[in-house]
Amino acid sequence: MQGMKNIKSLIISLLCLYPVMSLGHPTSFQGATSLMNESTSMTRHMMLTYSHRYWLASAAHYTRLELESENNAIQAGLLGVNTLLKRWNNPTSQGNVYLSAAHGREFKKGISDRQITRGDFDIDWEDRRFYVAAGYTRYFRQRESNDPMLYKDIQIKKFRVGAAPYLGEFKELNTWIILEAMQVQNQTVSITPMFRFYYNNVLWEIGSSLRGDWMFNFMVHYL
Amino acid sequence: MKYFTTLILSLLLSTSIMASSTTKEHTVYVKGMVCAFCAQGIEKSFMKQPEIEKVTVRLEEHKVTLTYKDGQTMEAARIATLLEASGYTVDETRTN
Repeated sequence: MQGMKNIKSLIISLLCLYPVMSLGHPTSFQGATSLMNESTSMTRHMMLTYSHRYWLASAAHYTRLELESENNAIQAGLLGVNTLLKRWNNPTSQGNVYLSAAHGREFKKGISDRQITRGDFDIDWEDRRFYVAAGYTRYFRQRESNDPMLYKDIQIKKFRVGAAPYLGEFKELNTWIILEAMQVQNQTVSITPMFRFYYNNVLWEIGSSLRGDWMFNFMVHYL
Repeated sequence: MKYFTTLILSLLLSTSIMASSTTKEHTVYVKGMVCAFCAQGIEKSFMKQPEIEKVTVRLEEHKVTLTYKDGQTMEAARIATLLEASGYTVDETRTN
């Protein structure tokens, strides 16, 4: 048991060496290892994936969510799979539908170990000039109390539209201007304009919400 | 007669060079290849093949040019299979 705890701490520590976040396709080309990190002042999601096929990847997650109620805040580690359910390859565009699931443990300080399951449904469409994406994430949490407000399930909804101000070539710097709307539970929708950059195997996004909350996302592919 | 022989030999040689140049490279147009990460996956996939010398991607034209090592080539069906394994498809309407 102590050994397991040490391994868990080690994995979390390794993940935390990357103080960044990312948002991209949850599966990649066969044999690719990808690290993604998505951070705002309230949330953090890190995901390490290995793509067995372009449509199937194993994933390790670290997630942290700060909410209005301390009891509902989440800090957890999860393992799961990401799948590309459907891809539309068009001559000048691409559309995707992804479904991901993961299961793990919450380990927030002061909270005893409790199970947690994460489900994600994502869709996107892009061509060289425009990009649109929507995502829904839900955390299903283990309840040990009759209090319906305690350890309740958490849902996150996201919607993005973007445009490329110029058309960058492969191995050149590619730039996108993106507007993201995100809602955690029933809180006010947060609107965040951001820049997305691609260069070689690295993608990063920098933005600030209209309320002044920062955002930094990061993704890198290794072979 | 000498001139005639030289002419025939020259014609044969130029035909041989043309044939060689047509098999040295292969261009395919790819459906769904819209971003640098897409291109990266395709490049990695082809560079693992022993016949391939170089992969050149033109995102704007959705075009991949495969340059083969000396004397080597790849069947069109295999190129399509490799692209499909990477998550993309050959645009048959544009690729000969």
